Amino acid sequence: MSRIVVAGENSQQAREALGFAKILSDVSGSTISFLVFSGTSDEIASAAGGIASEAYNLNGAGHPPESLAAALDILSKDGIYAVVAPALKNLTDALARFSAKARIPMLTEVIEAHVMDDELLLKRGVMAGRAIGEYHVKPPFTATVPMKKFEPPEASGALEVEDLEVSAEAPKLIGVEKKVKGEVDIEGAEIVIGVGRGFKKEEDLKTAFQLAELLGGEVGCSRPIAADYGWLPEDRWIGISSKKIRPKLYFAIGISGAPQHMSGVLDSKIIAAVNKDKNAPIFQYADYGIVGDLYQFLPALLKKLEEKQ
Amino acid sequence: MARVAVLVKAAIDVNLMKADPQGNVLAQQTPLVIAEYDRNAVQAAVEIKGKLGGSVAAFSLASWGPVSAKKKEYENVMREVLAMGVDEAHVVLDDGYVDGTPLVTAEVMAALAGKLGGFDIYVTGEGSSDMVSSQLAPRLGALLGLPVVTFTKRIDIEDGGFKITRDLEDKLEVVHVDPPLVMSVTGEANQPRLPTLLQIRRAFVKPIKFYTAQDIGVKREAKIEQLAIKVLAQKRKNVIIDGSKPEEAAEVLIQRLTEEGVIIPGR
Ligand SMILES: Cc1cc2nc3c(=O)[nH]c(=O)nc-3n(C[C@H](O)[C@H](O)[C@H](O)COP(=O)(O)OP(=O)(O)OC[C@H]3O[C@@H](n4cnc5c(N)ncnc54)[C@H](O)[C@@H]3O)c2cc1C
Repeated sequence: MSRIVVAGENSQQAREALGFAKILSDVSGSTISFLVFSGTSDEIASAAGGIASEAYNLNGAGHPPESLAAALDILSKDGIYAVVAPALKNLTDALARFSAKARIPMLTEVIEAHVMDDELLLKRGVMAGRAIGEYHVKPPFTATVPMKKFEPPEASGALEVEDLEVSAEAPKLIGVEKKVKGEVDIEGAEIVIGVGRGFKKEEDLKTAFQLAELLGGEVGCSRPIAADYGWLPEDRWIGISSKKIRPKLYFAIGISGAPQHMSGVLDSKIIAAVNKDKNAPIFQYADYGIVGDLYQFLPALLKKLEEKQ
Repeated sequence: MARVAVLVKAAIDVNLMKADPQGNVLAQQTPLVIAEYDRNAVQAAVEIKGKLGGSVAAFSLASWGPVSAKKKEYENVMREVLAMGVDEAHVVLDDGYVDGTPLVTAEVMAALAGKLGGFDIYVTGEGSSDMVSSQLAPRLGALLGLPVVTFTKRIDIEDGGFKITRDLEDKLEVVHVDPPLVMSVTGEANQPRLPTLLQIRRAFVKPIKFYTAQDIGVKREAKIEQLAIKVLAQKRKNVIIDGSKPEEAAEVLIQRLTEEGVIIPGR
């Protein structure tokens, strides 16, 4: 019987794909193998005990994308049903390398899995999040799933872990710089003020923080504000390549409404927006859209709200 | 001197996406544009040529059909990258490859690279703006047996070697690798320059070559089937408030959001 390999850089990551793997294993009767780049046997057992029937540990040897891809080559020798992992950059990289060599398809960021007449129907966001693509896939295949999308089953019991040694050439690692981690939980916030390139200077963002303070919300941002300018830490970056939010109110200020940004806010109850360009796409997505200059509108809004305090 | 290849996708313009009344996306009727981050890939390729000398070839696989109706659009995207400093363009146009998955794209691009004698550096965008699969660079590298560096945010060339900064979720990682190599670049890797009028005019005399499946020889197998692409329905109120009188607009907005129960002024 062919197996399903669940991969991650560590146990916590790999666990994010276990819920999806379980669906595949229920359809196919395949067993689940748990593969991590590094971690302890205890971590592995508490992440996948009782769910996976075997586990492999690369013990941190080499560089994640190359080592994991090489491990997948080995683990698939006797046939494979699927390889799945959370949609993280190194894992997408590793699975794509493996898939190319195995000449099998790969679907990134699968959000739904259904079984129809014993066939698998998988769905993923396409068109920058404006549409959903539906796919029939035949095993073997590989897939990634967004973090927190498929609830993993409760782990319990022991799990034997085997050390796996691979040899894989990799670029020489010469430095690592950890990113600053903020303490905001933008995904859990009830009100999110989104800031975009309509703000001309970093210090101008303080009006957005004042608004968030007055309304009891958090400040989020478009990709350029975090990734390009570094004005805000990346845990405030909203969109297809970062956080997805579901607040009662999303208030987009100086954001054009690119589909890649909007796909992270579609689950908001109400969307409001300020933009000085009346043709900005954001107005198609907004319940309430103010056509105007944020530099005039925001101070007026703050003043009114303060008056009502 | 370096032979640089940049892989460019003519993607669905997601802002102009058309759909039928049932919500099926009409890819055929939607215009194509260069995938947003492929501009960064082109810019990176041109900058590498600027440092090492040599030439840049653009590769593209037509992934939306029918190719006979779309040929002009594929050509326009290639003219755009030629104007940005690419020297020649190679486009695979075949209805047998459209709606192709990244599996097909990578195999076709690898075959094309082989046909053209191989390159020292292959550059792609981190993901296309329509399908965002992020698979092409690692797949291509695996097929060509070359080192792969994904999610490149910064490229420093030192003594012909590449010092590359990868932008990962929780860290920046710096690696060193010598060509030949394959890399994908992020949208933050550089500022793509707009071509000048002169560059645009010059682009018209640069060569664009077209290829069919017969020239390429990659057989497509049905391992995955795209059943449908359905628009995500969004129902919003689309109330527009004139902001030319900021105080009044602010008052209206506060009132509306309060009625919706999403804010509590003076809480
Ligand atoms: C593969 C891929 C993934 C991506 N992922 C993401 C993602 O996860 N998140 C994301 O946000 N983006 C993402 N993007 C980028 C996205 O396409 C846009 O480029 C980005 O969202 C634009 O950010 P913005 O709205 O802040 O800036 P812009 O598009 O530049 O918009 C600025 C807006 O501000 C308005 N404005 C200017 N001055 C004022 C003023 N004084 N008052 C009022 N309004 C003003 C302008 O009219 C304009 O509409 C991705 C792109 C790709 C290709």
